[in-house]
Amino acid sequence: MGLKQYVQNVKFRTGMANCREYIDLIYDVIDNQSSPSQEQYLRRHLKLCLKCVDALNLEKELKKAIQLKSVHQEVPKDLADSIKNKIAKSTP
Amino acid sequence: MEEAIEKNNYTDQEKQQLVDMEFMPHLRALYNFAYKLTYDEDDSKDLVQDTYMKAYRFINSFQKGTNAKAWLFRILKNSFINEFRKKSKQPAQVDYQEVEGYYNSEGTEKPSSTTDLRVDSVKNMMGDEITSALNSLDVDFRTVIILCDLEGFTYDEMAKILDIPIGTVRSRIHRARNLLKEKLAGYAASMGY
Repeated sequence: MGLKQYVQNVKFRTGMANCREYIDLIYDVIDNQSSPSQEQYLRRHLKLCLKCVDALNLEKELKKAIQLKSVHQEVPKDLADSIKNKIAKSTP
Repeated sequence: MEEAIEKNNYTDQEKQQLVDMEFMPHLRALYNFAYKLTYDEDDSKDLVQDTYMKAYRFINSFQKGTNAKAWLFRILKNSFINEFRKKSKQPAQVDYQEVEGYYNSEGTEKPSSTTDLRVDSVKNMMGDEITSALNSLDVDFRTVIILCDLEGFTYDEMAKILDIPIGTVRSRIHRARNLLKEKLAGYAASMGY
């Protein structure tokens, strides 16, 4: 853990972090990159701050929208065979 | 971010098994990643084929049981940067690592994520709007959102794929999401959400 992160964790633990710092924590939480204690710090802050509750809900919804609504390209039918053929040809 | 690579000596049969069981299942994810980088079907096919050929050529560097998907994504990203980006007549890119360094420096006010985007408007958006907004982002920002939100890589895996420090991954994701929200807020306003 770097010094910056250590200081930030102290701020979260003591409730001294500001909303902008909690936004960083929101990203860690929605991306499953946070520790249980960080999630606890965020939950504690969310009880007191509607602005951050809104931010968390928006980030969650945006992530869900990207996952569920992004248009996926169909893989060309011949691609897998073409790769396998090229690999077979390159094998001595 | 150099790591000591332990070489294996797989038999032809083991190599074939690795290709079939570990590499081929990621074809769809790789093709979609390639398409979101190039926006061209032929280039995407070439890039994916090139990725698999390189993976096969260097297969002895791959440790069985490790993250094949992350390994293949890293190869594809490097191929894109080294070959496809050179070929394309793109305007000069901004060096985002420099920008990120600036935003991460102490005492620098980060740009505020001022958007009036609401949860309801995101819920009402169509896939095309989300896709267009994502596609309109610069390739470096688009890439982190694809890797994180669509492919579910951890920050640590993304740092290895992109060859950047984890702090840079974090700040790039934050910046990318703020840019995406700005784009979507524009759509939402124009649609009267």
